[in-house]
Amino acid sequence: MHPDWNEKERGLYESVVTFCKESLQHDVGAFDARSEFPKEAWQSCADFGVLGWRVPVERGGKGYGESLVAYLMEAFGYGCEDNGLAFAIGTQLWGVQTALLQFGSEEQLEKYVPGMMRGELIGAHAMNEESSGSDAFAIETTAVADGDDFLLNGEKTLVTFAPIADFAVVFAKTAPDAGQWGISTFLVDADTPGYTASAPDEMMGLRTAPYGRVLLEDCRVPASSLLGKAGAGASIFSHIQAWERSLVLAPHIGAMQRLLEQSLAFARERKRGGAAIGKHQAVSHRIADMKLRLETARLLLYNTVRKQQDGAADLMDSALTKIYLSECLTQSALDAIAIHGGDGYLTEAGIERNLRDAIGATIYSGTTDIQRNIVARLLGL
Amino acid sequence: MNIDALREFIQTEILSDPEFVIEADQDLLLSETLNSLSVTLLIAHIETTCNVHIPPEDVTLENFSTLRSIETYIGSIAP
Repeated sequence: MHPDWNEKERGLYESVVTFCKESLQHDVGAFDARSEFPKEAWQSCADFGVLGWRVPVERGGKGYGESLVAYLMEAFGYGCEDNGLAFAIGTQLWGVQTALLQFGSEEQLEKYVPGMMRGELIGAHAMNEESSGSDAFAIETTAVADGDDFLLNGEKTLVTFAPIADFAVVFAKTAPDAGQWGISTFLVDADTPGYTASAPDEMMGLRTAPYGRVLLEDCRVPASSLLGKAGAGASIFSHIQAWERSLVLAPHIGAMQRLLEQSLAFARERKRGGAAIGKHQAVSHRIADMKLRLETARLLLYNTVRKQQDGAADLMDSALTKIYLSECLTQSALDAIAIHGGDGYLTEAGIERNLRDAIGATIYSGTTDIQRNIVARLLGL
Repeated sequence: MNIDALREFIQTEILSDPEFVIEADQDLLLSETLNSLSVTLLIAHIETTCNVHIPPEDVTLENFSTLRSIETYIGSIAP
């Protein structure tokens, strides 16, 4: 646990861990096998207040600062073995709520935020397209002004929550000849004629967080659905990404702590040749490395989050954090499997699921290769 | 921050080419003289140097397409 937190904050951390262990009782392995979103667990999280942690007090939320929310998401990642659920919550807090709270009009905030906090509304963040990928701004979806409305056409892919979302933050080109400077942001309700969501895509991991596509065919939305200024979509997207890259991996710290404790217990209890396997350096060194990754990743995360909260973080901070945390969890999940041996490989124990879930973070919100490109560019290469 | 200071920063810190010619009304964005990363660096520099905050929704073609439009924009938000 980070030593800088005060007693109240540490108490909140413990309450989140207790909530996860006592109230999130779904069989994660079964939901993962069925690629099923745990609706009841989501509602429990909403009832506990998770989806209002970032929302200002005057809007009915807790008004916690980003550092504290990251700390509580660390607790969530530790207490809840459903990494997909932790990721799904992160996308709501950082991908969707950041967009609304930072750029939403009073009317938009009233329409969406209370329902999100109650767990009644789920938002999707629809930027990626088949033709864009790592070149995020190379989107082809258009929004053409038609009277007082806009007509949206295009297809979004790899959209978290697409299959079940009630609305989506959609990025589309209002000025196709202006490249990224012609991108605008819209809030589109899923029941709008011309809006079609796909069935969930089958995925390697994070299977409890439904991914899918959103098809927009002459989808007519009023001008009041524009989020922020026309033409500011690229900047809005970059702003959201900076928050998401820095913070969506906070549960990784808790997951690494959980894997470390599981591996440590196994290494102490499992005996071979009359001695605990933890007495063998091949095992103990892996555990030492897991501890090292956990502590260094934690330092990097909170350093970045605190700088970001103070407005002092830059692209380098969020890129380094994204790279390091995603790769640390991946390696620690591999080490946990190696330590558990056959048990780690079997699906029943739930150890291997952490590896499948961890890989996603090296891809989503900008791949680790793209993050390294950013770091190199900022170093003058 | 005036046009000359903006030009010098872009030439030296972003483009690494002090001889690169940038006219005051020359387009910087559609021509891709500045990419999204470059714009982010420029904004960070302006915020630090001028002690201002540039909201993401203000980073538009209208405000950042030329040295002159950037200068005008900074003037509109400077304390």
